[in-house]
Amino acid sequence: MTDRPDPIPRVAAGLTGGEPATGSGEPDRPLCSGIGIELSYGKHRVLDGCDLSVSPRQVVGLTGENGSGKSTLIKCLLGFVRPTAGKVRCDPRVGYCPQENYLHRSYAVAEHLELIGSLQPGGNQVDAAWLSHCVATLKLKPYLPYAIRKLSGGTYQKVKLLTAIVHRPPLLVLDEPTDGFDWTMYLVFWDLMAELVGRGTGVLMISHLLHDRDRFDRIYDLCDGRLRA
Amino acid sequence: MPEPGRRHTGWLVFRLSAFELWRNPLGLVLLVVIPAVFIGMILWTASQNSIPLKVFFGEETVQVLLTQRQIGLVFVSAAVSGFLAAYYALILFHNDSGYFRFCVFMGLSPTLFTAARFAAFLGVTALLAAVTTVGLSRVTPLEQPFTVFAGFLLITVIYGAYGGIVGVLSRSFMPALLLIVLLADLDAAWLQNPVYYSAAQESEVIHWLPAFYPCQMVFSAAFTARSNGAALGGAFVWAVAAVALLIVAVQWRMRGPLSAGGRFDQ
Repeated sequence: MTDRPDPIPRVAAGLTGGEPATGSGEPDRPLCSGIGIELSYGKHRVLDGCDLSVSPRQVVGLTGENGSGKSTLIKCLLGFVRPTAGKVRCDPRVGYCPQENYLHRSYAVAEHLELIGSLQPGGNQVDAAWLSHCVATLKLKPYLPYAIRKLSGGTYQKVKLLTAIVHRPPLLVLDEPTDGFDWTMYLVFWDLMAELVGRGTGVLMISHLLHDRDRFDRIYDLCDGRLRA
Repeated sequence: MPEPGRRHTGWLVFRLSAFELWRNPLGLVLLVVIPAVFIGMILWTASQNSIPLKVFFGEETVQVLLTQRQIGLVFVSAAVSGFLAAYYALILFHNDSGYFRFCVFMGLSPTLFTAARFAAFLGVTALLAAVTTVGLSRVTPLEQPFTVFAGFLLITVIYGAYGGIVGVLSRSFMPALLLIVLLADLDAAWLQNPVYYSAAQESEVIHWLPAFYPCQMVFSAAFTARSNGAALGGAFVWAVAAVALLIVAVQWRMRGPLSAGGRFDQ
């Protein structure tokens, strides 16, 4: 496990009425933890005793070769895939950006946001000011009436990211969230992360980008089913 | 700009479900082409010669003398509305199911999702049944048009639920589509239809197929003045069982773990 000194600038959020996302007053209690996670498909062992945790205000990176099981590990943590063994605990107020393109192709971006905004994961409601801020920051306003199937790869990825952060969750789990972003949007992404982390959000993020490494507080490397610091 | 939390989620899912069907170009094309082709074929090929048709009334079976064209039109209307209902249910319960699993993860209640989706589906089936009844009444006089409508409604609910179940359980769209075409064609269009399969009337097997009771209900209402409680009861049991199975399948799909590989887009 590699601890790095304060890699993300703790910028002031610049938003009104913002509460710390955790609101728990227990900064050291992990938002998400997995102990001894194992997963096998037949004889193939995908995960072999993985331990990891994400605390508030922490940005944790998860790296590994293609097919090493990073996305599967995340899905085990979030309860989408049942691990063969091990213990998992995650805050239910989690924002998740999966790798796959899951958005409904025939909905307009605004319709999608309206539906997602009407949901309350773990009782978390959407703050309209935060939503407007994110839409403006991600430059999505012109695309609100567009059908999702007509979006470019980068814009589609922005909508996925916005879906994950729209409830300003205490825990963010992002699977290669900057795929398709240009450099400007890549920097905007990290600004948004800084805002959220500044409010207390813990972030677990899969990334292959070398220049991301300096932004993580901790990096786990998944190799042959085992997590290494 | 979307206004979060202003609208009720159930209403949103219902409204978006209706949009999904409206925005499906193939669905709209099929809505016109399938009835036109099938009913056109009957009008073109079936003769005006009369043949006896055995109508099931529970304890007794009544023979009604009808033209081949009348019989063919009713069965083909049943097959067409059943297939279309199954196709629209397939769209509602198969396409983009990963998206709705994600919404469930985000806090959407699977029960609310099923109810809103099902309400949209019922709206479509009622519309299909009404169009089919009105279309049939233009070609042949109907003794009890509202009961005919109820019969077609039950056919569309049964076949729609079947299409939904196939859609929920199938990973791929094409095999699911083939399965609904196969049953709608085999059952309503062929096996139940004495014009094309005269031996079927003598076989007990057709009593166990989903289109049997609603088709008998439609025939008795269309061409006799008698009420047919046995056919209505049988069709109702089929409809309730099919819808219950659909609800179980949707709940299982929405709540259970992802398939091997854990992907949302499969």
